[in-house]
Amino acid sequence: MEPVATAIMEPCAAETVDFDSVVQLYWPRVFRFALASLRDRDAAEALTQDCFLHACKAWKRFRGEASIQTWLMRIAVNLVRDASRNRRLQFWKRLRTSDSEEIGRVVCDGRLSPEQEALLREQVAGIWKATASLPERQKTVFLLRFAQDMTLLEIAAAAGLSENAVKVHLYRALRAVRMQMGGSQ
Amino acid sequence: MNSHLSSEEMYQWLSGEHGADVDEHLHECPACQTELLQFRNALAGFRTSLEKSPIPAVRRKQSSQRLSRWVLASAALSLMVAAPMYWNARQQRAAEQAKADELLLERVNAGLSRSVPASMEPLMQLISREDK
Repeated sequence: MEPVATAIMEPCAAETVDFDSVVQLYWPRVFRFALASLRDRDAAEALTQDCFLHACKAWKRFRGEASIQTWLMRIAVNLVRDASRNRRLQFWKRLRTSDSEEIGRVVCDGRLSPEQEALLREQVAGIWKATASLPERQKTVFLLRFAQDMTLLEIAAAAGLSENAVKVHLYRALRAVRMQMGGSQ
Repeated sequence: MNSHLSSEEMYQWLSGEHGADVDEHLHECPACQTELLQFRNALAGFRTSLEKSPIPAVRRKQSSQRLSRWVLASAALSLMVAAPMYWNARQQRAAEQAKADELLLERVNAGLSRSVPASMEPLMQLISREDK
Protein backbone atom coordinates (compact mmCIF):
# COMPACT_ATOMS: atom_id res chain seq x y z
CA MET A 1 0.00 0.00 0.00
CA GLU A 2 1.16 3.51 -0.83
CA PRO A 3 1.35 6.02 2.04
CA VAL A 4 -1.84 8.07 1.94
CA ALA A 5 -0.01 11.37 2.33
CA THR A 6 1.32 11.00 -1.22
CA ALA A 7 -2.23 10.55 -2.45
CA ILE A 8 -3.46 13.91 -1.14
CA MET A 9 -2.54 15.83 -4.22
CA GLU A 10 -1.58 13.16 -6.70
CA PRO A 11 -4.15 11.16 -8.60
CA CYS A 12 -3.85 7.44 -7.75
CA ALA A 13 -5.77 4.25 -8.37
CA ALA A 14 -7.86 2.61 -5.65
CA GLU A 15 -5.70 -0.54 -5.50
CA THR A 16 -2.71 1.42 -4.22
CA VAL A 17 -4.41 3.06 -1.21
CA ASP A 18 -6.20 1.54 1.76
CA PHE A 19 -9.75 2.92 2.11
CA ASP A 20 -9.57 3.03 5.93
CA SER A 21 -6.63 5.45 5.68
CA VAL A 22 -8.62 7.58 3.24
CA VAL A 23 -11.47 7.79 5.75
CA GLN A 24 -9.10 8.79 8.57
CA LEU A 25 -7.42 11.46 6.49
CA TYR A 26 -10.38 13.01 4.70
CA TRP A 27 -13.14 12.67 7.30
CA PRO A 28 -12.38 16.08 8.91
CA ARG A 29 -12.19 17.84 5.55
CA VAL A 30 -15.48 16.49 4.30
CA PHE A 31 -17.13 17.19 7.66
CA ARG A 32 -15.92 20.82 7.68
CA PHE A 33 -17.21 21.41 4.18
CA ALA A 34 -20.57 19.87 5.11
CA LEU A 35 -20.71 21.88 8.34
CA ALA A 36 -19.95 25.17 6.61
CA SER A 37 -22.52 24.39 3.92
CA LEU A 38 -25.36 23.12 6.12
CA ARG A 39 -24.54 24.83 9.46
CA ASP A 40 -25.95 21.92 11.38
CA ARG A 41 -23.58 19.52 13.12
CA ASP A 42 -25.91 16.51 13.04
CA ALA A 43 -26.78 17.01 9.39
CA ALA A 44 -23.09 17.54 8.55
CA GLU A 45 -22.10 14.34 10.34
CA ALA A 46 -24.83 12.35 8.59
CA LEU A 47 -23.77 13.81 5.25
CA THR A 48 -20.11 12.96 5.91
CA GLN A 49 -21.09 9.38 6.67
CA ASP A 50 -23.14 9.20 3.49
CA CYS A 51 -20.26 10.63 1.52
CA PHE A 52 -17.88 7.91 2.71
CA LEU A 53 -20.53 5.24 2.27
CA HIS A 54 -20.95 6.27 -1.37
CA ALA A 55 -17.17 6.44 -1.73
CA CYS A 56 -16.75 2.99 -0.17
CA LYS A 57 -19.25 1.47 -2.58
CA ALA A 58 -17.55 3.10 -5.56
CA TRP A 59 -13.99 2.67 -4.25
CA LYS A 60 -13.16 -0.37 -6.39
CA ARG A 61 -14.15 1.59 -9.48
CA PHE A 62 -12.04 4.64 -8.55
CA ARG A 63 -9.38 4.82 -11.25
CA GLY A 64 -7.57 7.88 -10.02
CA GLU A 65 -8.44 10.28 -12.83
CA ALA A 66 -8.72 12.97 -10.14
CA SER A 67 -7.11 13.18 -6.70
CA ILE A 68 -8.94 11.44 -3.87
CA GLN A 69 -9.77 14.83 -2.32
CA THR A 70 -11.36 16.10 -5.54
CA TRP A 71 -13.30 12.85 -5.98
CA LEU A 72 -14.58 12.90 -2.39
CA MET A 73 -15.47 16.57 -2.55
CA ARG A 74 -17.42 15.94 -5.74
CA ILE A 75 -19.51 13.38 -3.88
CA ALA A 76 -19.89 15.79 -0.94
CA VAL A 77 -20.90 18.70 -3.21
CA ASN A 78 -23.64 16.56 -4.76
CA LEU A 79 -24.88 15.43 -1.36
CA VAL A 80 -24.91 19.01 -0.04
CA ARG A 81 -26.86 20.08 -3.12
CA ASP A 82 -29.45 17.36 -2.47
CA ALA A 83 -29.59 18.15 1.25
CA SER A 84 -30.03 21.87 0.59
CA ARG A 85 -33.00 21.10 -1.60
CA ASN A 86 -34.55 19.03 1.13
CA ARG A 87 -37.34 21.13 2.56
CA ARG A 88 -37.31 19.41 5.90
CA LEU A 89 -33.67 20.32 6.43
CA GLN A 90 -34.39 23.91 5.46
CA PHE A 91 -37.03 23.95 8.19
CA TRP A 92 -34.64 22.65 10.85
CA LYS A 93 -31.92 24.97 9.59
CA ARG A 94 -34.10 27.92 10.43
CA LEU A 95 -34.68 26.62 13.91
CA ARG A 96 -31.11 25.69 14.77
CA THR A 97 -28.98 28.80 14.90
CA SER A 98 -26.76 27.71 17.80
CA ASP A 99 -24.53 25.60 15.56
CA SER A 100 -23.62 28.44 13.22
CA GLU A 101 -23.00 30.77 16.16
CA GLU A 102 -20.63 28.19 17.62
CA ILE A 103 -18.81 27.56 14.34
CA GLY A 104 -18.13 31.23 13.70
CA ARG A 105 -16.22 31.76 16.93
CA VAL A 106 -12.75 33.06 16.27
CA VAL A 107 -9.99 31.76 18.47
CA CYS A 108 -7.13 34.22 18.54
CA ASP A 109 -3.63 33.17 19.56
CA GLY A 110 -2.73 36.39 21.34
CA ARG A 111 -0.51 37.82 18.61
CA LEU A 112 -3.07 40.49 17.75
CA SER A 113 -3.88 43.62 19.72
CA PRO A 114 -7.38 43.73 21.32
CA GLU A 115 -8.49 46.18 18.59
CA GLN A 116 -7.18 43.94 15.80
CA GLU A 117 -8.77 40.94 17.45
CA ALA A 118 -12.15 42.70 17.67
CA LEU A 119 -11.90 43.74 14.01
CA LEU A 120 -11.01 40.20 12.95
CA ARG A 121 -13.93 38.74 14.92
CA GLU A 122 -16.27 41.21 13.27
CA GLN A 123 -14.91 40.44 9.80
CA VAL A 124 -15.12 36.69 10.27
CA ALA A 125 -18.69 37.04 11.55
CA GLY A 126 -19.40 39.10 8.43
CA ILE A 127 -18.01 36.33 6.21
CA TRP A 128 -20.18 33.71 7.92
CA LYS A 129 -23.21 35.94 7.55
CA ALA A 130 -22.47 36.63 3.89
CA THR A 131 -21.88 32.98 2.99
CA ALA A 132 -25.24 32.02 4.52
CA SER A 133 -27.08 34.05 1.92
CA LEU A 134 -24.90 33.25 -1.09
CA PRO A 135 -26.51 31.38 -3.98
CA GLU A 136 -25.71 27.66 -3.90
CA ARG A 137 -22.94 27.56 -6.51
CA GLN A 138 -21.22 30.69 -5.22
CA LYS A 139 -21.26 29.25 -1.73
CA THR A 140 -19.88 25.89 -2.87
CA VAL A 141 -17.08 27.49 -4.84
CA PHE A 142 -16.27 29.93 -2.03
CA LEU A 143 -16.12 27.16 0.59
CA LEU A 144 -14.00 24.88 -1.57
CA ARG A 145 -11.54 27.73 -2.08
CA PHE A 146 -11.43 29.34 1.36
CA ALA A 147 -12.45 26.51 3.69
CA GLN A 148 -10.78 23.65 1.80
CA ASP A 149 -7.92 25.58 0.19
CA MET A 150 -8.50 23.95 -3.20
CA THR A 151 -7.17 25.35 -6.46
CA LEU A 152 -9.48 26.66 -9.19
CA LEU A 153 -8.90 23.52 -11.27
CA GLU A 154 -9.67 21.23 -8.34
CA ILE A 155 -12.82 23.23 -7.58
CA ALA A 156 -13.87 22.98 -11.23
CA ALA A 157 -13.49 19.18 -11.09
CA ALA A 158 -15.26 18.86 -7.72
CA ALA A 159 -18.15 21.17 -8.56
CA GLY A 160 -18.55 19.97 -12.14
CA LEU A 161 -18.00 23.46 -13.57
CA SER A 162 -15.57 24.96 -16.07
CA GLU A 163 -12.63 26.89 -14.67
CA ASN A 164 -14.08 30.13 -16.03
CA ALA A 165 -17.44 29.46 -14.37
CA VAL A 166 -15.60 28.82 -11.09
CA LYS A 167 -13.88 32.21 -11.41
CA VAL A 168 -17.16 33.99 -12.12
CA HIS A 169 -18.89 32.39 -9.10
CA LEU A 170 -15.89 32.99 -6.87
CA TYR A 171 -15.54 36.68 -7.78
CA ARG A 172 -19.25 37.23 -7.18
CA ALA A 173 -19.00 35.48 -3.84
CA LEU A 174 -15.97 37.56 -2.86
CA ARG A 175 -17.78 40.75 -3.82
CA ALA A 176 -20.77 39.80 -1.64
CA VAL A 177 -18.51 38.85 1.25
CA ARG A 178 -16.50 42.05 0.96
CA MET A 179 -19.65 44.14 0.98
CA GLN A 180 -20.85 42.34 4.11
CA MET A 181 -17.49 43.04 5.72
CA GLY A 182 -18.05 46.72 5.09
CA GLY A 183 -15.72 47.11 2.11
CA SER A 184 -16.37 48.47 -1.36
CA GLN A 185 -17.33 46.34 -4.36
CA MET B 1 0.73 49.95 -12.79
CA ASN B 2 0.16 53.34 -11.21
CA SER B 3 -3.49 53.30 -10.10
CA HIS B 4 -4.77 51.02 -7.34
CA LEU B 5 -5.72 47.41 -7.92
CA SER B 6 -9.21 46.81 -9.28
CA SER B 7 -11.62 44.60 -7.35
CA GLU B 8 -11.25 41.94 -10.01
CA GLU B 9 -7.47 41.95 -9.68
CA MET B 10 -7.82 41.55 -5.93
CA TYR B 11 -10.28 38.66 -6.32
CA GLN B 12 -7.97 37.09 -8.88
CA TRP B 13 -5.09 37.31 -6.41
CA LEU B 14 -7.20 35.85 -3.60
CA SER B 15 -8.26 33.03 -5.90
CA GLY B 16 -4.65 31.99 -6.14
CA GLU B 17 -3.76 33.58 -9.46
CA HIS B 18 -0.77 35.73 -8.65
CA GLY B 19 0.12 37.78 -11.71
CA ALA B 20 3.56 39.43 -11.80
CA ASP B 21 1.95 42.88 -12.32
CA VAL B 22 -0.23 42.55 -9.24
CA ASP B 23 2.65 41.28 -7.10
CA GLU B 24 4.81 44.18 -8.24
CA HIS B 25 2.06 46.69 -7.48
CA LEU B 26 1.56 45.23 -4.01
CA HIS B 27 5.25 45.78 -3.25
CA GLU B 28 4.96 49.41 -4.23
CA CYS B 29 1.48 50.35 -2.91
CA PRO B 30 0.95 50.15 0.88
CA ALA B 31 -2.77 51.02 0.55
CA CYS B 32 -3.53 48.07 -1.74
CA GLN B 33 -1.24 45.84 0.32
CA THR B 34 -3.09 46.71 3.54
CA GLU B 35 -6.50 46.25 2.00
CA LEU B 36 -5.66 42.95 0.34
CA LEU B 37 -3.83 41.50 3.35
CA GLN B 38 -6.67 42.49 5.64
CA PHE B 39 -9.14 40.68 3.40
CA ARG B 40 -6.83 37.67 3.17
CA ASN B 41 -6.43 37.54 6.97
CA ALA B 42 -10.19 37.69 7.44
CA LEU B 43 -10.58 34.77 5.02
CA ALA B 44 -7.86 32.89 6.89
CA GLY B 45 -9.72 33.66 10.15
CA PHE B 46 -12.87 32.24 8.60
CA ARG B 47 -11.02 29.03 7.77
CA THR B 48 -9.49 28.85 11.26
CA SER B 49 -12.89 29.33 12.90
CA LEU B 50 -14.12 26.32 10.94
CA GLU B 51 -11.05 24.25 11.74
CA LYS B 52 -11.47 24.93 15.47
CA SER B 53 -14.91 23.40 15.36
CA PRO B 54 -14.75 19.89 16.92
CA ILE B 55 -14.81 16.99 14.49
CA PRO B 56 -17.04 14.04 15.40
CA ALA B 57 -15.31 10.67 15.57
CA VAL B 58 -15.50 8.46 12.53
CA ARG B 59 -18.63 6.39 12.95
CA ARG B 60 -18.54 3.94 10.14
CA LYS B 61 -21.56 2.50 8.51
CA GLN B 62 -19.40 -0.64 8.51
CA SER B 63 -20.24 -1.13 12.18
CA SER B 64 -23.91 -1.11 11.36
CA GLN B 65 -23.13 -3.49 8.50
CA ARG B 66 -21.36 -5.70 11.01
CA LEU B 67 -24.37 -5.40 13.28
CA SER B 68 -26.71 -6.27 10.46
CA ARG B 69 -24.47 -9.24 9.64
CA TRP B 70 -24.89 -10.41 13.23
CA VAL B 71 -28.61 -9.86 13.02
CA LEU B 72 -28.74 -11.85 9.77
CA ALA B 73 -26.61 -14.64 11.23
CA SER B 74 -28.74 -14.93 14.36
CA ALA B 75 -31.90 -14.82 12.25
CA ALA B 76 -30.53 -17.66 10.11
CA LEU B 77 -29.63 -19.64 13.23
CA SER B 78 -33.06 -19.09 14.71
CA LEU B 79 -34.58 -20.23 11.43
CA MET B 80 -32.42 -23.37 11.49
CA VAL B 81 -33.63 -24.17 15.00
CA ALA B 82 -37.21 -23.08 14.53
CA ALA B 83 -37.80 -24.70 11.14
CA PRO B 84 -37.48 -28.37 12.32
CA MET B 85 -39.56 -27.58 15.40
CA TYR B 86 -42.21 -26.02 13.24
CA TRP B 87 -41.98 -28.97 10.84
CA ASN B 88 -42.36 -31.48 13.69
CA ALA B 89 -45.31 -29.61 15.14
CA ARG B 90 -46.89 -29.50 11.71
CA GLN B 91 -46.31 -33.23 11.22
CA GLN B 92 -47.80 -33.91 14.64
CA ARG B 93 -50.81 -31.78 13.86
CA ALA B 94 -51.20 -33.57 10.53
CA ALA B 95 -50.97 -36.96 12.28
CA GLU B 96 -53.59 -35.91 14.84
CA GLN B 97 -55.80 -34.62 12.07
CA ALA B 98 -55.35 -37.88 10.15
CA LYS B 99 -56.26 -39.86 13.30
CA ALA B 100 -59.35 -37.71 13.83
CA ASP B 101 -60.28 -38.16 10.19
CA GLU B 102 -59.81 -41.90 10.53
CA LEU B 103 -62.08 -42.03 13.61
CA LEU B 104 -64.69 -40.02 11.81
CA LEU B 105 -64.50 -42.31 8.81
CA GLU B 106 -64.78 -45.33 11.09
CA ARG B 107 -67.86 -43.80 12.65
CA VAL B 108 -69.29 -43.07 9.22
CA ASN B 109 -68.52 -46.61 8.03
CA ALA B 110 -70.08 -48.01 11.16
CA GLY B 111 -73.13 -45.90 10.53
CA LEU B 112 -73.30 -46.98 6.92
CA SER B 113 -72.81 -50.65 7.77
CA ARG B 114 -75.93 -50.65 10.02
CA SER B 115 -78.88 -52.39 8.43
CA VAL B 116 -81.26 -49.82 9.95
CA PRO B 117 -80.51 -46.25 11.13
CA ALA B 118 -79.60 -45.88 14.81
CA SER B 119 -82.81 -43.97 15.55
CA MET B 120 -84.89 -46.89 14.23
CA GLU B 121 -83.06 -49.55 16.25
CA PRO B 122 -85.48 -49.54 19.33
CA LEU B 123 -88.43 -50.02 16.95
CA MET B 124 -86.70 -52.89 15.19
CA GLN B 125 -85.96 -54.51 18.56
CA LEU B 126 -89.71 -54.36 19.46
CA ILE B 127 -90.64 -55.90 16.13
CA SER B 128 -88.12 -58.71 16.55
CA ARG B 129 -89.48 -59.44 20.11
CA GLU B 130 -93.05 -59.60 18.79
CA ASP B 131 -91.93 -62.03 16.05
CA LYS B 132 -90.45 -64.30 18.66
